[in-house]
Amino acid sequence: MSLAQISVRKKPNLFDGNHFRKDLVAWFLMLPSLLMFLFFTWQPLISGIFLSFFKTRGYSVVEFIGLGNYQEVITNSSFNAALMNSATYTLWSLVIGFAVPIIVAILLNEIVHINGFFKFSFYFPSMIPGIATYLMWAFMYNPAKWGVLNTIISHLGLQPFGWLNMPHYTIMLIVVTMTWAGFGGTALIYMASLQGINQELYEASSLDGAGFVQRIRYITLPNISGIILLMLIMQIITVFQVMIQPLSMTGGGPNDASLSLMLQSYLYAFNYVKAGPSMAVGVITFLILLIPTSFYFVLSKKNQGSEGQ
Amino acid sequence: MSKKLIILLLCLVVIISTFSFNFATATAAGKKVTLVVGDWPRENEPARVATFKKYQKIMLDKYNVEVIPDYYQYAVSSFLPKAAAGTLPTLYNSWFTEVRKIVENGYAADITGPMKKAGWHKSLNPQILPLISDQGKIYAVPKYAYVQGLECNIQLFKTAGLVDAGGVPKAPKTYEELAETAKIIKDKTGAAGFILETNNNCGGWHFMNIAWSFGTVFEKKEGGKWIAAFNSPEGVAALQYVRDLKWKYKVLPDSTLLDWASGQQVLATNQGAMLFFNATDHDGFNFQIDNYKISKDNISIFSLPAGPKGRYAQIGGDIWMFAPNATKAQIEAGLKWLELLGKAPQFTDEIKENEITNYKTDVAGKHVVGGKELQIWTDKAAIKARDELRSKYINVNLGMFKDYNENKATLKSEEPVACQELYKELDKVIQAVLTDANADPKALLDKAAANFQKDVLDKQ
Repeated sequence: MSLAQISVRKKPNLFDGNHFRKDLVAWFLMLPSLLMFLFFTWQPLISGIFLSFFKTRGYSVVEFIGLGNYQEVITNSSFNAALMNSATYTLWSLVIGFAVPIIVAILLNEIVHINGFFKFSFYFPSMIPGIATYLMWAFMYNPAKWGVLNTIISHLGLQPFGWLNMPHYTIMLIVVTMTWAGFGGTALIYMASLQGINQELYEASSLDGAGFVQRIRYITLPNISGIILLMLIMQIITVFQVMIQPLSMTGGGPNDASLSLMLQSYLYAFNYVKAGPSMAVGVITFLILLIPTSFYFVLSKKNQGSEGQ
Repeated sequence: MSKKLIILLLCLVVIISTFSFNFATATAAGKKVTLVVGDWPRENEPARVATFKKYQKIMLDKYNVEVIPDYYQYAVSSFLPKAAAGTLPTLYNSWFTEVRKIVENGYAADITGPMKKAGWHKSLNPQILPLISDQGKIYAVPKYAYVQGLECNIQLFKTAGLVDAGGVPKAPKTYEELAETAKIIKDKTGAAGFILETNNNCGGWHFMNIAWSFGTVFEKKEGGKWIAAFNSPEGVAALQYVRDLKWKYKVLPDSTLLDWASGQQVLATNQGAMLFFNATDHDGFNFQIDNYKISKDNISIFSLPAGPKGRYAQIGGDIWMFAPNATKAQIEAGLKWLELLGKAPQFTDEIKENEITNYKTDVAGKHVVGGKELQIWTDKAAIKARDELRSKYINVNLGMFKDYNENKATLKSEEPVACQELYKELDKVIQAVLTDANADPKALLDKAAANFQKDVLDKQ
């Protein structure tokens, strides 16, 4: 195919009459998913944005108040704490949790014997229902002398620790729990990416005398850098929206030390039945996350492009 | 079909579903009334299930009302979705603390007319009526009501040598005594002497009892405006007392994130000796007994202690409310149903029969029958008949409940405005003084009062 031929090739228009008739069956098959997507993704999103500009009674609209709900939530005495805490969760999750699945995936990829057992073992925490995981960890973090972790550290001659009761450590400890619960699933994604690396590169590097660390540095990491970047942004987006963990482990305490934006949104909606302010917090979070999400889409597209080459 | 048409259709779907949440649902009126009843007993209570089924039949045969069971029990996390989706049972349970929130959001029907028609409003305890009313209208029927008391773990009191000749705990009469008693228990048993709930708004809720007894006024109206007043010297003294329990007497549990359930866990598993709690017929201590296996004979309860400015105890309890779309016929049918369940002012043979089943279930389940709840209705003959029946099933040493049953404290209802928000703010200051030995109660309360004023009261 000549360059001239390539340049005149047009992108097919999906909604072109002829094309549509040709793809009618496909459209028909997609219709249930499309409707589900509209009802369960777009409808709540648009309703939420809509409600955030209104005074509400329950979920019913009372009157348009413009940015009144936004003003209410931003001037609320807990907003700054919730915003800063959400950022702190994200930061700690990158410090504690970002490298763990990459390391685990690389190690699993290197293991030859009983690989299946290790894969299962690492993935096992991801199979436990979230609430059960967080309640179990809250129990382990019990600050009493007989608390699980305090019993362990007492055998090492250390004094009992306050764990979640210590406001400066609360978020970090919650992030440890989140990492434990989630690293297995993320490691599987990295493993899938690792298995796509051309094995000949490793063989060639071995012949050239490259060791384990050099192979990781010059072959593995460059080859999975796209997915690493993608997962980094995904992690920022996900962790910034943390809610279930502080809700079930600390209730946002002590003294707002673990309150997050989404937990604040939950409290508005469920504890105080204030749908408008709750939605306003959701929209603010959405706007903040729009930046990393845009990056995510660009990278995702780039990744797909590079995979297609 | 063209591109424009597809896009138009998809947009229509989104728009219609977006704006459809506010549409009212029409209620079909017919001869037979249908009543969906929430908080239906589950299979693990066969005797109650059988009684409810019997009453279902009575409702159908006698009143032409079809009662449909629904297992929904009120919970903060599930109420809003149920209410917003219009799927609340016609008759659902809730708590006294939730009435204002539910009414303000339009999720309960006004039942003043049917209550007056049935004559129930005349028999209501005047202390309870304001808790179920808003602007002169009645929105709920009380299921049971209680006064907060001081629950004691008898075993820990015994181990600490703090029981009288009859084995009854020497419970504190003042908050000063409470701290000293708790200290003795802590020193002699290693368990926490006193358990103060601190989380999920329970901290603020329970702190009220202490603060009122220290003379704290939380909210006051000045020139038509509500003012947060709890950063007073009295409020500071009450918070200082809580701080002292942690850092001076060292009698509180290690965890500073205790809520309603975890507070009870500490007491029921012998890790704590005293807790603000309440007794009611058919429910009081069931959660502790069923989940943490504390024996009913290890439980006693007393009137709350007195502070420097009085002896106050908060009222609480459960209620029945009607879905906002309930018709007059459904509300009247609901009152008939509650009458069968024994939640009415009168005490008929049918009610007596149901109460006998309930007491038998309590006794079989080794639950406490002995603690007295607050009287909801004022009909003396009915109260006497209920007491007589109850006395036949008492299964605990009444000496352990005497002080609570005779209640020595002045009863107080919740603060008038935005209690849940107030409790949340107080949770924070309590958590702050319990996690930081150097925390300044005055500075914390000043900040909390300013926050509560700005975030909540100024917007009333």
